[in-house]
Amino acid sequence: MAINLLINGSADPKARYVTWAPSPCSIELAAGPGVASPQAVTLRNKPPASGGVVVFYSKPGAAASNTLALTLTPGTPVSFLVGGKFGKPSVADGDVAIQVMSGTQVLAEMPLMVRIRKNANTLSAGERDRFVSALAQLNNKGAGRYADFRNIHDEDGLPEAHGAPGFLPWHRAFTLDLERQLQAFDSSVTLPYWRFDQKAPALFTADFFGTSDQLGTVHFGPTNPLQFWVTDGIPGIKRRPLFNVATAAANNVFTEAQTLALGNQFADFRDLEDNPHGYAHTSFGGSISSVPTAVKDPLFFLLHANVDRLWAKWQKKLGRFDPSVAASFDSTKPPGGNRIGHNLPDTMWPWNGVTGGVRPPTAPGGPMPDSPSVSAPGARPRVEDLLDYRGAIVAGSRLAFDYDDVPFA
Amino acid sequence: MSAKKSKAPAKKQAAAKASAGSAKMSRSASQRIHALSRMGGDFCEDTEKLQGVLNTIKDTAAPLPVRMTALQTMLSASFSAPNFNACRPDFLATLRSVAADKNMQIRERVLGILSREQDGFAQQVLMEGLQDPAKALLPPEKALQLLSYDIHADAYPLARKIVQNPPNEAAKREALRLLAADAGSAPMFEKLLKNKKEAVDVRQLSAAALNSLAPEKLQQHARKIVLDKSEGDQLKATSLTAITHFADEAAMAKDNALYKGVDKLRTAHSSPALKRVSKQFLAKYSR
Amino acid sequence: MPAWSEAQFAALVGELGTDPARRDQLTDLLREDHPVYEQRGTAATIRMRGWVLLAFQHLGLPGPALIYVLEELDNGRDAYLIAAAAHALRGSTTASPAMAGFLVRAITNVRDHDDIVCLRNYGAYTVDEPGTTAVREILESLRWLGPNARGVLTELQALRANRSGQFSALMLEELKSTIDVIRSSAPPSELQENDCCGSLMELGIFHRQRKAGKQTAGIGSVMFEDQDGKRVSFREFFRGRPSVVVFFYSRCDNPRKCSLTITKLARVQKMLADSGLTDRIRTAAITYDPQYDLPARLRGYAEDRGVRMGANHRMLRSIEGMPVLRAHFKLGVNFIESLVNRHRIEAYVLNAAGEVAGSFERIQWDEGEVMGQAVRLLSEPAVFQKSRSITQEMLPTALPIVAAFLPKCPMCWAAYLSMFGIAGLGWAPYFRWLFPVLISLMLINLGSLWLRGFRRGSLLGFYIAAAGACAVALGMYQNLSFAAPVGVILTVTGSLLSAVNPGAWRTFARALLPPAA
Repeated sequence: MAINLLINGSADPKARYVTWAPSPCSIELAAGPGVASPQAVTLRNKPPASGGVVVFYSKPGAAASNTLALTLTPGTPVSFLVGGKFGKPSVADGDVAIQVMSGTQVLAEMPLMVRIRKNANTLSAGERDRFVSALAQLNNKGAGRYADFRNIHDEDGLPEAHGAPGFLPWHRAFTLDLERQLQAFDSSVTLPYWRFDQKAPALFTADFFGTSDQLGTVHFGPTNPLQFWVTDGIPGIKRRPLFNVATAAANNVFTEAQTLALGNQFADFRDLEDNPHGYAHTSFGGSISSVPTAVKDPLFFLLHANVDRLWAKWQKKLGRFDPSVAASFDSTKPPGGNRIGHNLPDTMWPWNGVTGGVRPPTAPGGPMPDSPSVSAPGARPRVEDLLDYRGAIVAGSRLAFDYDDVPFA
Repeated sequence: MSAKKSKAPAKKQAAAKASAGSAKMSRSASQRIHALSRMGGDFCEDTEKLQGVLNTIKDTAAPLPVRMTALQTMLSASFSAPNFNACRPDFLATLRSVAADKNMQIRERVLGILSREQDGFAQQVLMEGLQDPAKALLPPEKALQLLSYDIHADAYPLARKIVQNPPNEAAKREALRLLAADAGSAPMFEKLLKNKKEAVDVRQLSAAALNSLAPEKLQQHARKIVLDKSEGDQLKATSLTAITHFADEAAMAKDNALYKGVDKLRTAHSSPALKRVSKQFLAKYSR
Repeated sequence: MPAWSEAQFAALVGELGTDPARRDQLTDLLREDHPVYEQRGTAATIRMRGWVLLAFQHLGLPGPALIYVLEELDNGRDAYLIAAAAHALRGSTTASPAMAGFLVRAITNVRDHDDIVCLRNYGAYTVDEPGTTAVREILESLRWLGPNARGVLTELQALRANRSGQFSALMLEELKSTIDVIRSSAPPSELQENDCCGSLMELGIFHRQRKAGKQTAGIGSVMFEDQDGKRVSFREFFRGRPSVVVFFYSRCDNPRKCSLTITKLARVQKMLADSGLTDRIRTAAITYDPQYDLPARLRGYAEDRGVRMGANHRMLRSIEGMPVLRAHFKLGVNFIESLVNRHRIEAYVLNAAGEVAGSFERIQWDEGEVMGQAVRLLSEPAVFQKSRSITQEMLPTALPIVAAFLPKCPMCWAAYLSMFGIAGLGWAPYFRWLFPVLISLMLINLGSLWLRGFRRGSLLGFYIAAAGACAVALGMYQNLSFAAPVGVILTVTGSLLSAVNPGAWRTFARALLPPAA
């Protein structure tokens, strides 16, 4: 009995990745001899659950369920949704499988992954190794696409990304761009976050993001491909923690609770650009502590993943996903609006490819990469496209990432 | 002017008031640190606040943690570019004025910030210190490390001299790292990588440099090292990591001799690291 | 190491800066490729150039030096140099409306990188001295322009509105007073407010048309590698149709230079494609940093900026002949070790003979203008001025032939003696002690042929000469009479093939044939 199962509306194996937010799926029973019509089936997680676990939704807005009963008519696809069960992310690609059951008989099985951004300090060895491998390939001894990220954050485009309301959406897009490029090497990889308000002894190790000597030279183990990291032709990373990474948080940074308490209006919340964001950067000596060199150290992206997670948590706490709600974005504007790139309808440099005039002179890197799982935010995203990252308001706005400690429901 | 924020919560206003102007000597260091770290990033237009922070940086009588926090406050604010434009000229001038501070941590931090801005003044004082140790503000290895932030600086001749006659091993490594930016150094790195008498960390650094400057050469040498029984596990592991991640995949898929050699490493009395990367290689190129 | 210390340089500038008769020498010090900048770091180059610019404020800014000032305002990023350029502008004897646009552009370029700079003493930094800032100097120059800056009032008002939030309150005040000064200055009758801005022509600055027909000896033989690792000579790529050539390098840290240059190249390519001219006009970007910009980097840099690549559109690094390339284009670049310390913006249009027909230097070039010039070259006859070009084409081919035949160099001796000497050795007296000498020469010849062939990517000449050597040896040991002359012929053939560039014979033949219609 042939069963066609589409995850995220696609038969592409690269689309078989879900987050906490429900992903649109469909199931179709192919007509054929011996095929009963209608056919009752039940969808479930393949036991035993060793990694990720998924939940099912019969339709948008329905309650999540561990199993889903459906009635299939040959040749007629039936829609449903699948999402990761909060608290049960995958640890490896394909470690969760949807089984299509007819009684006790398994009619079909499809492995997928509940692909979630996690705390870098808690990654498994496999997750860690896959991430650093993809990162090292993106850098590719200084000749890879990582050079774009370096150029973007160093060129005249800094005002497009800082010091104004677009700071958070822009960096959400920047980290998403990197994550999608990593996934082009290994679909199972996500961008982990560095919780700078906590100690992170497992992150700053020779097998992961390196140990720093007194000089601030980062040392990697002999099997860590990050030992071949190159930017601007100089091998290595310069990072000198001004705090004890094994036992302490970054210097003077606001805790998560303090950050979330910055205010209920976006205009107040975005003060996190200074503290904890700026303070996290400057808790080190070395590349990450100055704007022109910050991206030379890939820790930049783990730092910003945490900044983004804090925003995501704030959004969840206060329901701030809808761009049309004033409190979701900066509601206090000067006459004439914020500067370009910081208003909701503005497209964002460099992905928009717009140069000259009020925009920077060049736009390296090209448009936002596609994702096999979702179509958002599009090749040339606007500021507003980055708010509803989990499709809470408009399902099609999903950006295919979620955080391990920001629930959906 | 940029968008004014909405009325700040009362807690934040109190913190801002507490930090206004230069901190009084009578307040404890921790209070001053607390106030500085809650100033927010939007104080550049407030001349009194700005000068207060800059004066704290310059104040040699202030406790070191307070001065370092003041530096952190300014540096954090710089991440809100371009709101920092009003602060920037005075900040850079202040940094230059304390580059020769009696406290080493201040010098290191300040010269680091200036070096990342590719500041000519910082480069001059660092190179002067390398040429004349009596004038050095930082140890030579640190000076070399900071000079490498600007690949267009003229530190290369000095770095070459230091490689030939290093004051210490760390200085030699940092000089080598700086030289890796000059593509003309590739033959030197090749020689260092091949030299079995050279320290392992220097050979590893040479491998990284060669991977950037002459990747095909690195792959050739890495292969030889992996198959050479006289080489140590650490360098073999580094070499095999380079092959696993950066080699031409089509060529590796056909290299049966290498595959067999790595298979032996996996089962032999190799270090755990070497066994691990051997498994990665074999899994990637499984026959 | 540089031949001059910075102190000596400053003294020289000080001396030249007091003598109006030597202004040309002072201007000449602003050429990037001036030997005084060799093996200098960028920071030193900045101090030196800035000091030269500052000298013009008192001496008076001569016409030929104006382009350097405008270049810095148009594209510079360094606060000290921009301040010095703005300062130098005030040494002009004539104020022109065209200058205003450059000053406004400089404000945008530098406002996020501004610094307090000291202009009084050479190489001084703001430790003990008071200073000024780049924006302040620019505003002072705008005030100096007075009515000639009326054309940029709209832009200045827009900056003052500060929607970008990039100006301090203090700077906004200065901007306001600058606007007031410009407004209140008595306007010359022919100027209109907001009548922007004059043109480069008004300033006497033209994108240069070079007189075609100038060949650089050996340029045809310059060898490149492209973004796919394929080798191509200058002759093979740049002759036969017009081309647009730009220079860049991937580690350039001024986005208004290399990054923008390559971005514009992509736009030129698009314009060519839209006009159906993609296959008729070639484009190329050549790196100043060929040892570092390996093919993967060339490709990555290009793709990231939308450049299309193919048989007629390539990213190139020179693997042989960089000095000739520099001479051919008169490149405005200098180096510290292999790193660029400073370069200008440069784009060229070459005619179908590979000669530079137009150059666009220093100031941002317009894509339409560059493409227009290339298109005009399409309609010019592909004239190979036979009398000159045949000679020039023949020389690279003929010279090696002469060298191979006449013993004018050690390697030639080796070829000459080895091929004839051993073959006729039996008739020579003192055969026994001559024999090892001539064998050695033969081996030296083979070694040099191998090296040359390896660099060229073709060992055919070596293989033929090696076969010739084997034949000569066979003739001696096996006493075969025919082997020696065969060996001589093979050795000569192999040596000649190796001496002559691949494709040179094709070019030579083309030079003799009438041009295609």
